[in-house]
Amino acid sequence: MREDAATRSPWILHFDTGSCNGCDLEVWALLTPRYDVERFGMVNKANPKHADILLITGPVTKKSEQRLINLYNQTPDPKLVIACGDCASNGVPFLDCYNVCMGVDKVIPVDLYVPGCSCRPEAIMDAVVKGIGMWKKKVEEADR
Amino acid sequence: MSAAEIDLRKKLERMSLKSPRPRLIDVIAADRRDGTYDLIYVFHHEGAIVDHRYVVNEDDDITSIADLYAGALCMEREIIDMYGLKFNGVTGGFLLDPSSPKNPLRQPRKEVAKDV
Amino acid sequence: MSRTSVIPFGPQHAAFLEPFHLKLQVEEEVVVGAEMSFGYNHRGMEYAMAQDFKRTQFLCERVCGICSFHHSSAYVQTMERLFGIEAPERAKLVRMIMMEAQRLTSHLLALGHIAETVGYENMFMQFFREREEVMTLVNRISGGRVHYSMNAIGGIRKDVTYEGLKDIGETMDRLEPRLLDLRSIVRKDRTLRKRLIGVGVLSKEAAFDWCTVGPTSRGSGLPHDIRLTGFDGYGVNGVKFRPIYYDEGDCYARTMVRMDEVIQSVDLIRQGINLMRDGPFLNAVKGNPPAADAYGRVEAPRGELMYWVRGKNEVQLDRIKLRTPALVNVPAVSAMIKGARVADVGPITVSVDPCICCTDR
Ligand code: SF4
Repeated sequence: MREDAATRSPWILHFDTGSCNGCDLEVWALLTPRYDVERFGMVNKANPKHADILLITGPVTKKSEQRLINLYNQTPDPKLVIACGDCASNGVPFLDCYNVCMGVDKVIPVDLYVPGCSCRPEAIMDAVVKGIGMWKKKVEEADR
Repeated sequence: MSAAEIDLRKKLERMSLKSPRPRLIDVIAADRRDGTYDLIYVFHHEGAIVDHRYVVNEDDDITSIADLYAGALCMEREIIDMYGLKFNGVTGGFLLDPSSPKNPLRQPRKEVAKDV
Repeated sequence: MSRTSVIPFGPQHAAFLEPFHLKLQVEEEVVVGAEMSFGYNHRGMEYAMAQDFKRTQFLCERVCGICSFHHSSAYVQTMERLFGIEAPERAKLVRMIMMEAQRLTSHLLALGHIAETVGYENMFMQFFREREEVMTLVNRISGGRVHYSMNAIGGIRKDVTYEGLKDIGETMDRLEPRLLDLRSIVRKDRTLRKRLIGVGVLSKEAAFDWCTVGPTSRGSGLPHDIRLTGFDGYGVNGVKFRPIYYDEGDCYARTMVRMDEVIQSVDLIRQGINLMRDGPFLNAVKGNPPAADAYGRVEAPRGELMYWVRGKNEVQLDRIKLRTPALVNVPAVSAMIKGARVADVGPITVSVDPCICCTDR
C-alpha cells in the first residue's frame, strides 16, 4: 500500500550548491506549463524532511559543502540524488576555480547524472522518470 | 594615517560632494606583484567613467568610504577577502569560508623585485 | 518593551532560487535589523577567468545563466577596447537583439518569481509560459537555451540568417499582445497591488547611497541606464530608446519597471531587425592582449554590469574584475526591510531580483 502511494508521487527538493543558475532555471522550467513535471506526480517541496528526490545543481562550493551534507542527512531514507548538469556531475566548467569541490559525488553519493551545460529540461525529465523506477526499487527493498 | 591615505580620503570626499553627485560603480584592487596593490575607485559622473587610482602597501590601513557610500562596504569586504588588505573598521569573511584558500587572488611576486 | 528575536532565512529556502542567508532581528512582527551572509556560490571565477583570454569568452557565460549573454557581451566589448578594434555594425545589432531577448527571459522570470512569492501561482505559470516562448526562440537562433556562445572578440562567431531574423520578428508579433495582456493584469490586479504597494520603500537618496543600479534604482526615480551611454548598439545607431522609471520606490514600482521594460524590449528587438544590413560580422583579432586596461559596460537585466580587464602581453590576463549589478542591489535589501513585516521579507528580497551567483561569482 505504502509502496504504491509513495512511488506515484515522489517529492522533489532542489538545492543550488554554487551553480551558474542555468540548470536551476531548467529545473524551474520543468515545473511550468511547457514541461510540467507534475503530471508524473512530482511536486517541488522546499523542505528536506518531506523530500524523496534531491535535485542538486552546481559544483559544490566549499561553503555549501557542509550544508549539502546536512541536507542529505535530513532527508529520510530511501532517497535518490540526481546531479543536474556538467558542473554537478564532474565540475568541469569550473576546472580552474579554487573554491569548488568538483562535483556532487565527491561529497554525497549520487544515483543519476544529467549531462549538458546547461542540461536540457528533456534530459532532466528523462532522469527524473528513470529515477522513479530506481526509487521504487529502493522503497521495495526498504519495505522488505 | 599616512599622507597618502589622507590625500585619498580627501579626494574621494570632494568627489562625492560634486553635483550632480557621482555614482560609485566599484572599488577595484589589483596585484602589482611587488607587495603593493592598485586601488581604483570608479565613478560614473556625467555619463562617463571617472576613476581615481592609488597604490597602497600590503599593510597600510586604508580608510573605508562606507560612510560616503553605503554600497562601498561590500566591495571593501570583498577586497579584504581576496587580497588581505586592511580597511579601517571593516571585517572580511564576505565570500570565503574558513576552509577556502586564503587571499586567493594574490599573485606570485616578481623575481626581479629581490635585487632592487 | 518587546524582546528581539532572531529568525534565520535560508540558505535553502522556498522563496529563494539560490542559497543566501538572511538573519532577521524581529520585534513582534516588525523587522528591526537584518544581517546577510553571502559566499555560498563563490567559486573563484575571477581567478579562473584570468587564465586564458580566449577560453574566458565562454567561461564568462558561466558566471550567471540568467544574464549569460550580457556577461559575454561585456567581456568582448572590454577586450575590443583593449585591442583597439571595433565590432562591425551587424555584430552589434545581433548582440543587441540577443541581449534584449535575454532581458525578456530574465524579466519574465523575475516577474514570475515575485508573483509566486506573493502566493499568486496562476500568474507565475502565465509568466513562465511566455518565457518559454522566448527560450525556444533563442534556442532556435543560437542552439542553446541558456548559454548562447555567440560572441567572439571582434564580432559574433556565426551570422544570424535571414530566416532567423524573420523567426524573431514573427515570435515578437505573437508575443506582444500576450505581454500587453499581462501588463494590464499587473496594473489592475488587486492581489499584487495589495501585497506590493508601499512595501519595501527605498528612497531616492538611499538608492543613491547604496549605489543601486537597474530596475532597483529606476524604481526609485533614478533614470540610470547604461544603454544610453555605455553600449554602442543603442542610441548611436539610430535606435530610439528612453529609460523607464517610476518614482515611488516600492516593490510595485520595481515590478512595473520590469513589466514596462519587457514591452520595451520587444520594441527594441523590432528596431534592431529593421536596422540590420548585410555586411561583415567579425573583425578577428590576432595576438595577445596588450599590457593596458579597459572598462566595458552593458545594461544587464538587473542593472549595469561592468568588466575591467588588464592584460600583460600574454595569454593570461593580469586581472579581470567584474562588478555585477547584484553586488550593489542585494545589500540594499537591508535598507528596505527595516520596519517591514516578516511576511513581506520574501517579496522585498525578490523585488530586487537577487542573483547570488552574480554576487558571489
Ligand atoms: S552545468 Fe553549466 S549551465 Fe548548468 S549550472 Fe553548471 S555551469 Fe551552469
